[in-house]
Amino acid sequence: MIGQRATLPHRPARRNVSQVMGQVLIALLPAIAVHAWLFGWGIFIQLALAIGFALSFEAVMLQLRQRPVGVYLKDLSAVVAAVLFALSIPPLAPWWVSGVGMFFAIIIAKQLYGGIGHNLFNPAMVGFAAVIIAFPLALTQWVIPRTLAQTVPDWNTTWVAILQGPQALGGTMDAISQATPLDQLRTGRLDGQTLSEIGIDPMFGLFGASGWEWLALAYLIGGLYLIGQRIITWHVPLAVLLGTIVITLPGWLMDPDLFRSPLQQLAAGSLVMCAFFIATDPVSGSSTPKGKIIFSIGVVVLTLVIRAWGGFPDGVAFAVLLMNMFVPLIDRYTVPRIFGHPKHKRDETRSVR
Amino acid sequence: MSVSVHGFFGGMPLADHKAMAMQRPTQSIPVPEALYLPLKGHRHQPLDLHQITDHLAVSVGQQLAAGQTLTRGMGDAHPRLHAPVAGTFLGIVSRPALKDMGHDVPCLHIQTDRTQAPKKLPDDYPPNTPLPEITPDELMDHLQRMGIVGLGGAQFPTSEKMRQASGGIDTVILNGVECEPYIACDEALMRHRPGTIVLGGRLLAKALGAKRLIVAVEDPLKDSHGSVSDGFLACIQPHPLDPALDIEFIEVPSIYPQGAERQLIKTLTNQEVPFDGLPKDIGVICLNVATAASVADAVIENTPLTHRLVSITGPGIQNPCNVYAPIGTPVTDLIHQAGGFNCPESEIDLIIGGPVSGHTVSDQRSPIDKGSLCILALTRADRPNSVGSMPCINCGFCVSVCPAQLLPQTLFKLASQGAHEKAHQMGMMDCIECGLCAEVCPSHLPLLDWYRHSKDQLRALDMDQRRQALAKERFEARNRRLEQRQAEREARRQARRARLEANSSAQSEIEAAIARARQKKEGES
Repeated sequence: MIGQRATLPHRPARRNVSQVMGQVLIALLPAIAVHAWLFGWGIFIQLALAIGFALSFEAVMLQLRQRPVGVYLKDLSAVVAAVLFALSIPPLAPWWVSGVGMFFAIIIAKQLYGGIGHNLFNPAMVGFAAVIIAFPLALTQWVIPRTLAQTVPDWNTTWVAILQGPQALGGTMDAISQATPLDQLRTGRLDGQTLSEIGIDPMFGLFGASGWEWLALAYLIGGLYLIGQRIITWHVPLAVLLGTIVITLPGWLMDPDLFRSPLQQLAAGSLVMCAFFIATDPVSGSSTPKGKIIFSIGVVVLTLVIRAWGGFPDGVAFAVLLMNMFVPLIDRYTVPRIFGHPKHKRDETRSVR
Repeated sequence: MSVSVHGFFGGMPLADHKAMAMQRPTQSIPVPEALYLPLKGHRHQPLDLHQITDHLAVSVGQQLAAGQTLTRGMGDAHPRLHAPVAGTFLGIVSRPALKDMGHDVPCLHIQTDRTQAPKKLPDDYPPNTPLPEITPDELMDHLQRMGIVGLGGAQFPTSEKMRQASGGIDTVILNGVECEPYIACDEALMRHRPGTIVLGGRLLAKALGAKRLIVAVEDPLKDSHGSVSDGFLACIQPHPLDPALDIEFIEVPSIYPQGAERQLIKTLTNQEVPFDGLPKDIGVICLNVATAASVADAVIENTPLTHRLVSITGPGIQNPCNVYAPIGTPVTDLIHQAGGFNCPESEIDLIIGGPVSGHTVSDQRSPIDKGSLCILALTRADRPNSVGSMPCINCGFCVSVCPAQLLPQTLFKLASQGAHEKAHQMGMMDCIECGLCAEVCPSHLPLLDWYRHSKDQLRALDMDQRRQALAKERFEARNRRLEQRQAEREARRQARRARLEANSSAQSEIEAAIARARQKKEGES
């Protein structure tokens, strides 16, 4: 008897989910390298913590949900969420930040919604939003980048800060950390300073955020690799980057004292990371090409609004989560024209032939 | 006039593996012991048994000559069958269907006369072969009598296709694009019989009043024997029969599913066939090259369609080749002709059609029909690793390859939830079943299986609705009829009553009659 298999296709697919997620991880390597160069050892400990927490929570939940643990751990989706989360938090953040973040990312946002493929919200961003609300102070203490401090915290300092919390370091913590450029801009604006007054600080560097521009560049390189590998399409990255420029350019041209430059908007926060790695999350994003563009523009607008008027220095996480809620609506109204159908939809009675 | 090549959305280049079947000369197969000609019209039009017996042209036990008509008069939807070789008709038997796993199909059982020589692939006609004068109607009737159907797989009767299209056809496209990997039966035909294909195309173009004839093939069809274009270019000079006909030979990029009718038409004309229409709506008719060759054979040699080229190929076949086989040959005979399997049968995935959109063959006793292009044997090494499928991660790979411009992942979610009506709204019936979505799916979801299931459900639902509508119509007609009868009866009653009332009194009439009768009686006595 011949092997009974009615299911198609009859040939191996070129890629499986693990390989897709693996490509995303490879694309994140430049950013991890730049992060380590700028801020020191912290990122490696944060990666180990986040991945460890993510896989443990995932394994426990899969066990509870009676799903094959090995198969779903190997899909690497939890690892991707953990790496994105680790890259988003300060390199010296204490260990419980990762624990709480991954609890919300993996257990609440992912597994309770049905696991891979079923989450409505971007897990990494749910985790990040949870910790920025729970630990606002710890989340603003970023290490001074190498481009300004000429050095990075040594292994011992990093280890102690993460394992025992910043208090254990006492005054050293204040010496090696500062607010991010975005944070500085926000507090400066609240004090009534103009952008050119704030911008004198060397932390803003040439392109609006010393050190951070290299990180943005690393995300750009990794993102272009993903497009080259056809893991993501051009729609989301182009819409986010171009959207940011188009929306912020007129204001900056009119009054650079009041409005930040498009370059600073891109270089100083996580918008480039968002363009290639966050808003491109397929599961919680739009399915249609047109929908992806609308989704991205929405993320950009909300991010800029939160940056300008919101209570947090950066708004990418909240913008993405808010837009996740609109995905079903966007998908519904952006169904592409089917081959052979008229350009403008008229009342069609579809026939079954 | 020259045709520029455009393109269509989506699609994907696939490794072609065509050289595998082309490495050996085309073979003919020794007459099989028995043939089973499947009695199935083109897709979705099953026949029932009494319908068949009504239209059999032979009786059980009758001796058959090669080419003798076996069925007739079932209309254009059910093409005629002819005896491929001489033998004895043994009746109607059930055989496992080639495509619908687990289903049987009624077949005409022929016990063959094994002393006869097998039929070889006919030689090519020279390009200047005189064509008989034949009117369009005569040609269509003749093609119907000869059982000519679309040989690209759909088996739609060519005569019916022409009748639907007559008037308003500008361009006849002969489709020589075999888009799926491994399948090489059309390539073999195009190498051996280019003149026949072009002659068939001329006959069709003339009958349809077309001004252009396009022969389309894939561009990389080149090997040590040269491109197939050489053969075609030699036989497309103007012909005395139709000096005005503009014949063009076009090489199109080999991007799967380039050979799908609507995608090919888009590539050649940059026009989309309307979703609810046919190619004729934009002045085009598209036929497979093998169909054109069988049209030429039917007209010039009066040969009915009884044999076809089938590729027996794949890594699991000992001697892959193209075989010229009688319709109704069991798959097992074909595999035997190609040297059998080169590994244990348990290692083999046997497929009818190509690897992307083909169907699993569950029983090797299944006979081939007029639409069987390829018997493909893949080995376990080619089989997807049996991890099973993961949930859909909405990666959108399927969206970017779907030539019908659908959202396959959305259709999958709707179909797997049983929301077939909703899937219908999202264009389920526009799916051309190319199978590319499943080919690229990183979650290894059996997408095409789901779509075929959903489409079956929709067709069943549609059939139900039509049946209900028909029943409703009948019921209403009966009510109307009853009401009318009631009304007529009422009218008659009214008329009678009126008549009675008009006569002064019915009673007196009766009394008068009695009195007359009495008088008569008295008079007699």
